[in-house]
Amino acid sequence: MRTSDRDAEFTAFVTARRARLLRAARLLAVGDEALAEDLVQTTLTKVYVAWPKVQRADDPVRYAHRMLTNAFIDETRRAYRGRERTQAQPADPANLVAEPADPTLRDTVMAALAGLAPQQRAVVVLRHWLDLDVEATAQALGCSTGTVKSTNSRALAHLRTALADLTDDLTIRSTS
Amino acid sequence: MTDLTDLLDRASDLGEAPMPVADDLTRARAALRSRRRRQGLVTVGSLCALGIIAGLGGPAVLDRSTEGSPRVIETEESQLFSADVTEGPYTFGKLPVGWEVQGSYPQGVTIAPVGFPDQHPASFIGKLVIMYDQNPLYGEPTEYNGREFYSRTGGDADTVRVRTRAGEPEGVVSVQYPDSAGWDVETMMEFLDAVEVGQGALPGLG
Repeated sequence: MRTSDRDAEFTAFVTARRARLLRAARLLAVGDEALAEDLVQTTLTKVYVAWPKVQRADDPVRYAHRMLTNAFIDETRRAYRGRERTQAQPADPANLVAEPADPTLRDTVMAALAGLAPQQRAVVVLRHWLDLDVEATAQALGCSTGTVKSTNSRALAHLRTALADLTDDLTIRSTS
Repeated sequence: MTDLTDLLDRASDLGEAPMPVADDLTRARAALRSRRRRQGLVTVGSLCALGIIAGLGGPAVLDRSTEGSPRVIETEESQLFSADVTEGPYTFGKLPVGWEVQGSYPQGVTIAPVGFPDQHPASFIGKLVIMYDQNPLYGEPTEYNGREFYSRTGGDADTVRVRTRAGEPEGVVSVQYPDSAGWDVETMMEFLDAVEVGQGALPGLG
């Protein structure tokens, strides 16, 4: 594959998908903007390097979701943060983001997510924000569908309690 | 009544963020160049010394355009070649072009690019590591050649695992390979499927 083709296709992919990947990363990183940006950069770099394989995949977006959650899970397993950066100066998160529209809601939701184990958080983000079904979530996390269901159940029980200050009637959209 | 998806949506929304596409592309290109540099450059002399030059195939080509020794340049995908190499209790029916066995032990074998700076067989960074253990299988299951392989990708080192065959010591044989090497899971399944575990193998711990 020619480099120019790869670059053009990758640029189109990033333009279309980066914002949503970053929002998913924010939820995984529970508000740590620097970590969220790192996760997205890691994901996009892996996507580019594997671009021929990504193209062959049935769903390139799903491939990116898998890379993102793997990067997040790997990050939580590291004893310390020492990722390699290829930029001369890392981006200052303060310059990257605006203020949330509802800081109280954001803080409460992030605190609730922070109370989840990493895999529980990943299941919640994949199932209830990225709207993946159980099977796709299991593929992204490399686990069984039964594990996804039981992990999701425990995570939702926690969130219902942790989000009680925001709502006493938390509803869950039904996805298969 | 509040919907969880709506809450997550609002919590993750910080308005319009900058779209550093050019930075993403620059970073990604650098990673690809680095990967190719690490995986692709091996000397023909080293390959001849190992007797594997005749096995070169696929997209590898000789580059005589520069001064000094000609080099083998790997193109998009790394390739395997047929081999019949026995190291301790492990026999390899296929090996990657430009890689060599660094050392073997009852629990596994370390394979590295020819001329790799780190020659210590117990150091695994940037290398292929074939291990035998009796731990549970995990990862994404994929059937290949009648066997169910389990892959785990996305970290610094990816893994493919499969149960040993009947007649081999009972357990799991796996290959850990560097993400930077650029192999896809199918290539690693092909590689691992050609690994035979002999009776002298001992299960690793961990």
